This record gives sequence, C-alpha cells and structure tokens, in this order.
Amino acid sequence: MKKIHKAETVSILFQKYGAAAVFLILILVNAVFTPNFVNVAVMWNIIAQMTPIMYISVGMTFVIGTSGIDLSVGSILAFCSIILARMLQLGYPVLAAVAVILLIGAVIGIFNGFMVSKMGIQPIILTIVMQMILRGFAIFVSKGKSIPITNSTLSAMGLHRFPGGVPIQILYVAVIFIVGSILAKKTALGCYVEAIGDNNKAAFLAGVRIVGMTVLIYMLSGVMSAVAGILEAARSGAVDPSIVGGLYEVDAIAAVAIGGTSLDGGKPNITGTFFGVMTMILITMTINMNNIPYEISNIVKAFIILFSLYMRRESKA
Amino acid sequence: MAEHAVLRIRDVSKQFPGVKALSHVSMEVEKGEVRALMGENGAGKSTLIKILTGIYQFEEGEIEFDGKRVHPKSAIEMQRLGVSTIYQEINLIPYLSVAENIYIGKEPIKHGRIDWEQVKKGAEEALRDLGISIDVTQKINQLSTALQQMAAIARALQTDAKLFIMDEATSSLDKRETQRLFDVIRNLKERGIAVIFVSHRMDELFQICDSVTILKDGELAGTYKMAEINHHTLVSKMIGRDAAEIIGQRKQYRTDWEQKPVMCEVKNIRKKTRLNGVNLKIRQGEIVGLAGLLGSGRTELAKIIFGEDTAYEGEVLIDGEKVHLPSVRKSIERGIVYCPEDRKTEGVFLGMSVEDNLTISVLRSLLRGGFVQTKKKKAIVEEYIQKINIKTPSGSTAVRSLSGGNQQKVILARWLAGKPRLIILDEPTRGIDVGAKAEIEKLIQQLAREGISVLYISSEIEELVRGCDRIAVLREGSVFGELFGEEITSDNLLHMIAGEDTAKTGGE
Amino acid sequence: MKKKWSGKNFFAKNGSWIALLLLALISTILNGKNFLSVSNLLNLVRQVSMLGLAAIGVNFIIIAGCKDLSVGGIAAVCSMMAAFLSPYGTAAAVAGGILTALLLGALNGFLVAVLKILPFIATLGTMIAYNGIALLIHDGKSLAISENSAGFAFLGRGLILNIPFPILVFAAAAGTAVFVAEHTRYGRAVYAIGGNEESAVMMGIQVARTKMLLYIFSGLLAGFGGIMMASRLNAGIPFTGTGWDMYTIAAVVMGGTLIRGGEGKISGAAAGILIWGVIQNMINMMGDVSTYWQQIIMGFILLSAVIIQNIAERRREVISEG
Repeated sequence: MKKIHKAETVSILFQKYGAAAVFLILILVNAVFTPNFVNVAVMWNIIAQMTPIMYISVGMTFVIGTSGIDLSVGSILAFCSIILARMLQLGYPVLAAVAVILLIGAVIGIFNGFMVSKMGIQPIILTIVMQMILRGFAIFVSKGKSIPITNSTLSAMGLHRFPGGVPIQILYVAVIFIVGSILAKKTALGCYVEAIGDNNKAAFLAGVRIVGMTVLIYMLSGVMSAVAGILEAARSGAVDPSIVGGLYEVDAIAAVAIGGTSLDGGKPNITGTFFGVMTMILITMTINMNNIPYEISNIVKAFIILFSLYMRRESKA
Repeated sequence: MAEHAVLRIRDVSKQFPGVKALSHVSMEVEKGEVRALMGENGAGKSTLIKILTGIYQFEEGEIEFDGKRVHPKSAIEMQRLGVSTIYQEINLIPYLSVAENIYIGKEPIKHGRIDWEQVKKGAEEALRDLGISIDVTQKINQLSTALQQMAAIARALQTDAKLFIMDEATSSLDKRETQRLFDVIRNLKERGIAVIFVSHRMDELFQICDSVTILKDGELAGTYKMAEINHHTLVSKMIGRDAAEIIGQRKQYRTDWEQKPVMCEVKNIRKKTRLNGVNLKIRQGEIVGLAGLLGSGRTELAKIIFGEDTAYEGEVLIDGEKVHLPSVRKSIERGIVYCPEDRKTEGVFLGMSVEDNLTISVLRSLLRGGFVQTKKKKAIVEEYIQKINIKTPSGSTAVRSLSGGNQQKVILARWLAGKPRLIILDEPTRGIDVGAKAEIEKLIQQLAREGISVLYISSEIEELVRGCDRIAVLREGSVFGELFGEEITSDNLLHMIAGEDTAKTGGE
Repeated sequence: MKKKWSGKNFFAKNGSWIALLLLALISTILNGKNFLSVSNLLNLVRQVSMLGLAAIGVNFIIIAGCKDLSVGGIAAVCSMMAAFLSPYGTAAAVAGGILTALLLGALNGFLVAVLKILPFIATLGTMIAYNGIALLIHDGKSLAISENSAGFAFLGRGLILNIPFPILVFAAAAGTAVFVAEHTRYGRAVYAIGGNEESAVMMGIQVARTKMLLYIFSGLLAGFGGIMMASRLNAGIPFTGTGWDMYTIAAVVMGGTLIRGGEGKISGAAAGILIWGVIQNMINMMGDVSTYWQQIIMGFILLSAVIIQNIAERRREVISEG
C-alpha cells in the first residue's frame, strides 16, 4: 500500500512549527492590543525574571525525552540557593559556594537518575518524594526565614546589564540553549535519549547504556536547577525558602510540552523548548503589560498550555 | 449448502487514498467450518479482517452474517453480532484474575453487588467446556500464552460468538500448545461455530482447516478445499511464481566441521528450574539450530549467551576463554548479538526512523570528536537497505510504517552493521509473509558463508531442517540430542523433540 | 487447591497497615497517654480527613492509570465558593460548593476522556487554572463565612456521637469507595482500564465514560474536602489545598497502590493518610520542631516504601517467569 504523503507532511509541519505558530500569534495579539508592547525595559526585566525556568527547561527536555519527569527541580533550586545564601552569610568565598552547590545539584541528579534506572522507581513518584524532602531541608537549613544576599560578585554575575539594558543572563541562556541543541541533534546523546524513551527494553538489548545515560541526564537536570538557583539568588537579593522555585517545574514542563517533545518520551527538541519558554515568557509579558490581575494570569497560562497541547494532539492523530 | 452459511461476503471492496486494498472479494463460510485465510503482506488479508471485525467500513458489496445484512460501524458492534477475534498478542487485563477477565464488563449481579461465586463457577465451567481445568482465581499473567488465549476464547463464547477469527494466534505457541488450541477449535466446530484461521504456518493449516481462501493483490485468487490443494499450488497462487525456490532443497552438508574453530561454547549451564546442565558448541560459520518445545529453555539459553541474563551457573566461553562478569554490552563488543523473539516490544523503536533504528548500535563508531558523522551514517543505512533489500521509501521514514518483514530486516541490519561474529536469531521469521521469509532464510545462508556463526531458534520444523548445519534439541533444560548433516530430516527432528516415545507424534 | 499462608505475602498485602501500627506504637512509647487519648486520636484523624477525601479520589484515578494533580485547586475554589455564597445561607453555600466541585471535576474529565490530553499535563494545567480562580474570587484574600450561615460550621466542627463530622464523612467515603471498587462493575472497569486500556476498549468497556465519572467523583471529594476546610477555619482560604497534589499521591503510594495503575486497594489511601496524620501528630507533640520535618520524615518513609514496593514487584516478576 502506498504511503499517504500529503497528510503526513502537514502534521509533521504542525508538530515542528506549532509552538512557533502559537508564539507568533501571541506576538501579534500583543502588538495589536498591548499599549507599549515595545517597551524594551519591561521586556528585559521579564526575561531576566524567567531565565531560571529556561535553564531548567533544557534539562527537563532531555529527561522528558527518556519518558521520565523531574518534579524536584524547583526544590533543588530552593535547596541550592539556600545553601549558597547560608555559605555567603558564613563568609565563604563566592566561587567556593558556587562550586559546592553545583556539586550538590549534580549529586542529587545522580541520585535521581540512579533510582530511576537502576532501582526502577517511577520518575514521577521519586521526584515528588525528592521535592518533599528537599523543600523540607531548605526550610530546615534556613530555619524558615529568608536569607539576604549581599555579595557584590554574585550580584554582578546575575544583575549586570549591557548597554541598552540587555541583561547578562541572555548570554548564559544563549550558551545553554546552543549547547543543549548541539547535544541533542549532533551527538549520540539525542539518539540514545530518544531510544530509551521510545523502547527501554529494546534500547538495552541494542547495547545502549541505559543506566549511564539516565544518570547523566538527571544529573544535567540537577545541575541546571543549581545554576538556576545561583542566578535566582544573584538576581533577587534574598532567598525565601518556602517560596523560591515554587512551581518552576510546572513552567518548565509546560515549555517542553508546548515545544514539541513528546511527554511519553521521544526526540528531545531543544529548539522547540526554546519556543515553548518564549511562549511562557510572552504569556507573562502579556499579562503584566496589560495589567491583568495576577490571578487571571494563571488561568490564561493554563488555557494557553492546554490549547497548545490539544493542537499538538490533533496533529499527531 | 447456502442455508448453513454463517458468513457471506459478496463483492466487497475497500479503497484507501491511492490504493485499492480490496477489490470485489467474495467468500462464504459455513457453520462449523474452519477456513484458512492466506495471502502475502499487502494482499488485503488484514484489510478484510479489519472489515469483518468492524474496524474498517467497506464501500461496495454486501456482508451477511448469520442470515442478516450487516454494515457495522464499530468493533463492539461486530462483537455483539457474534464475531470474536483472537490475536497473537493477548488482549486481556494482566493483573486481573482469569475468572474476572472472562466476565469483565458483564459480571453477574446479585443483590446489587457482583456475584463473585458465580463468576468463579461460571469461569471454571466455561473453561471445562474447552477441556481445561485451572485455578481461575490466579492473575491471568501467570498463565502461559496458550492458556491465556483459551481464556480469551472462553470469554468470547460467553457472548455467544458464532465466528472466531484467529489472527496469527499460534505464532507464540509451541507444538504442544498449538495442538491444544486445535482441540479447542475442533470443539468449536462440533458446536457449529466457524473459524477463520490466519497463519503463515502451512503445515498447521493443512492440519486443522477444512478449506482455504487465498487473496492476492487485493483480489480473490481462489477458495479451495484443503483436500484439493497442496503446499506448492497454495504458495504459487499466493505469490504467483514458482515456489520451488522457497520450499526448496536443503543445503548441502559440509564435512569439514571438525577443523573449524569453536567460536562459542557453553558448559554445564544451570538455571533454577529452567536449565539443567546445557552443553553446546558453536563453530565459526556454522548455523546451529536450537529446537524444542516451549519451556525447554531455548530463549533462556540465548539470553545467557548474549549476556542479558547473568543469574546462572556454568560457563560461557568465547574463543575458548571464559567470560567473566557477562553483560549485554560486553557480548556486543565481542561480536555476539541477539535478535529478540518479540520485535515489537524488544526490537524496534517504533517512533524513530529506519536510519536511527539501523544505526543505534554502531553510533559510537560513527562519532568523531563527540559528533555523529551524518554522511557516514547515511552511507551505512543505504548500504544495508540495498544489501538486504529493505523496502522503505527512504532512510528517514518512520520504521512503524514498514511491514513486519522489513522491520525484521532493519533489526538484522542493525546488527550486521557492527560486523558480528555470532548472531542469535530467536524466531526470526515469525509473523512474516512467505516472500520476506525466503529472503531472510537466504540471507542467513549468506552470512554463514561469510564466516558468521548463527544460533537459530525456531519452532518451525521445516525452517530448521532447510537451513541448519546442525540442530540441537533442548528438552526439559538440557540438550537431549543433536542432529548432523544427513540426519537432519523433519521426521528425525520431530521424534527428537517429542522425546524417546516414538509412539506419539510431535507433542501431546 | 491449598494456599500456603506465607509471611512474605501477608507483609506485602498489608504492609501499609503494619507501618501505621508501628508508627502508632512509636508515638505511644514517646508520648504515652498524650498520644493514645481519645481526644488526640480523634483530632489526628480529623485533621487529615479533608486531605483523606481527596486521596480516595486520587487513589481511584491512579488505579485507572491516570493522574489528578488539580485536587488542591478544586479544594481551594470550593472553599472560596462556599464562603462567597455563605451570605445566602448554609444550603446555598454547600450546594454551590458541591456544584462547583462537580463542574471542575467534569472539566478535568472532559480534557482527559474526550480531548484525550495526557492526564498528567491536563490536570497540571487545570491545577494552575483552578488556583488562579480561587485567587480571583476575593482578590487573593481569605473570605470569612457570613453569619447568615450559622449551620455551616457543623461541617467542619460538628460532632455526631462525639465523633467529628469530617471523620464520619471520610469513613463513609472510604467505605463506599471500597464497595464500589470491589463489588461493582464500574469499579472493576476502573481496574481493567488501568491494567491494559487497549484491551479494556476491545473488551467493550466504555473507557471515556468511566474516566469522566472518575474525575467528577474525584472533584466532588476534593471539593467537599475544601468546603469542610472552610467550615473548620470559618473562612474560605485561597491557599487551601496547597501541596495536596503531592500529599495525595504520597498517601496513595504509601497505601500500596502502584503508580502504574491496574492494581491496589482503595483502603490503601486510608492507611497512607493515617500514616501522614500520625507523623503530623508526632511532630506537633515535639513542640519546638517545625512542620517542615513532617515533610522530610514523610518523604523518607515514602522513599523507603517505594523502594521496597519496587523490589517486591521485581521479585514477583522473577518468580512468575521461573
């Protein structure tokens, strides 16, 4: 039987560019309705605010690609930023503190990856448990109080602006997305992740190092969360253990899902995630700039996420 | 005769965009008749079945079932009318009990709650009617595939099924279990229930079927009584060419085996209740068949040699050296590869392209500085598409759109790309049409000529007899005997598999 | 056919209740009469009854192979809704709250059963949305129950035969759920869908309808939990239900239900919730120790439970293959 080429192409197009399409629609809507849409200062502010989610999304893309999930990212962020703040408070040099928490993020990630691949624990329940434990520890270490951060080096790392108001964060984000994209498309990692997500057993029999790859990507996710924690701390000047990083995993997962990486596992689409995150940023911008009350922002966000997912489902069918 | 027809298909056609899948097909099946349905992939067999089971709708012609015109819009509708399907894969709920699976959705209710006693009794009765008596309270995934199928049949009979379609139902059964299924089919016949039997195993068809309908290129090639036709004619009607090549000569036996080095050897392999001291040698370039009933330990042995299973006693030697700390990766490095029995769940990556499926095991060798060399990758894919004739529009096509035979070829290519020394094939031609089967059998011979050893696990006697240099028969966990060269005949093999008791033929 | 009583089997089947007993024992040793007193025990159970209601619904949904992360959001909206309607009397408040719960549950069901969006992501989306709605109702602030609804307080603070009303509701819901799960066709259909959805479809089970009812059921339970919370606190709080998405899954898993679906006892949710309650109680009694310890301890216990469950499952697989 001959293949039906036409229908296939259309749905492939939608899958690849669906996220971009939603993104463009949002821009158009804003261009028409939002006063001062092109207010660059506000735009940069919002982007700077959302960079932590961008880092987390990159790691999350790979994790979801293996048909896993990492719900602990927000609390890894919280835990790491609290440790960072505490170490600075106690007088440790910035670089030491940063190195330590990157290590912590990596270790937590390795633990997660090990539990999932070697012990066979389902990622959703494992990372929910880690979320509970880590958030609890974050509050414990800080004794429930906010810890202020006054280190100038750190602030420079996080708050520096290039002429024109461009936050230095843009640089970090660009690097991470480019590296992530190269990893996914040009190295064997992308293929291995997709294989593991598509058919774990077949991947094992085909000689793919399941444990090694899984530990690696969860470690990446952990490290990304730690990096996000550093920058979050640098940017905000004080870390509140019960609030920081809250619901970040939701935004990250939404970004990945909108971006096209299948939640059941499949090809990790970093470029798609980029557009997914951009869409989330646009949503936030649309809401802030139109002075829509914060409460509605969540509803609007949810609606757009669900809509994008529905579109994606339709194109798959 | 016509009054006894339970199914009457007249002039039915089905069109898909770009291709006419069925063209004016007619057939009649009587009550209590067992009709074989044969045809190559793409002949229209699966389309016809999907129409009969209500999954597709037909455009032209008419279908009469049990005397009434029908035009079902859903699978459930056809089920309610009395058409039930048994597949190769079990479509039951694994964690529920046997009894529950038989009754789910229609559990008997007493005083507002489920009457569990009746469920148990009814299930036991239904199975007893089929000649089976087991503990119906156990979870159904504890049963063998054959028994699970019987439960599926029992369930269908609850709904007063008048026609069973068995689609490759015997593919996962061994000889003994197949006979059991045939007993059940004979039971159904006595009750006046008809069966449409789809299988690529011709000896089975001749055993159990009364007649055969052959489809070719979407059209009816003919309907014959089994008594009026033979293997040769059947195959030539299916593929329209001389089948001598396919059901052909057995290979010539070589006499210089003793000089060939032993590539792989297993010594005294033991595993709990499965393997009881297996000793086997595989020489370079030799095709060693591994025969035996289900449960004899063939796949277990294969997984041990491949390094997938590391919980055993005994030794696996490669080139005379014992393997310490075996693992799948180590085996692959040493050139031992394994094509799994169930390619859907253990072999292909359905969501990925032909390219990716083919090169997954050799990716590391395609890396330069950490990056995948795309040109080299595509070259390898092209090479093997040509070499083993994989029918696919391109390398980037999704592998799920390929036929079973071509998917199997992709998996073979995956291993061949890594230049293996020993290929373990576990039921390589299962669910593959005759044409592709012949190609794969030829390929295996070619590989042996190039010096690659093959461990060939199969339940098909003819296949083993045609293609192996030596056949080892496993029985209850150890090598019962081996057949060399001239000794390899279907009769000898069947006797050996059945054990020393030559009064029985090929199983209970 | 004789079945040997196996110690291992007994532990496997009743592990969560044994764990509960152990914890209760530890608490008794540490706190003696303070723990074992009727008032303390009733208090303990009452405190987790609202969350417990939601956990029952989530248990059913997980058995079906789906997820519901929005239970906390539904509780929040219903709590605010009840408060919002309280000026019109108790009946209005309760009816309005319940209606809202049914609607929100139905929306979840629509997304999952009709539009066939993956349950995890669908309820993630609705969780965000519902939390947003809860904030919207009174500008993000809590809303006191009006004096016009004097009877409303009974839901959260009333007693029947000296037993707090929430406990009775929880017990009744648990009992009904167990009955539905084990003795009705609907309940068995839920298990079938979780076991193998494709097969369930082929066996004639109305999957979409079953799932829709499931989410409505879950919404109703979570919503009523929120209403009882509002009654207890005498105000609708938009942050009601925070963490419920995590805690309900934790309780369900602790109770022995497998996250993959198809297996598990509904009573497990009750066991898991009570364990949560006992731990909470123990921590409260320690005085100085802050509540984040509850999370940490629960997290570790949960981790161990999950690991043990996993090892047991793998052993079972090996045995059946052998």
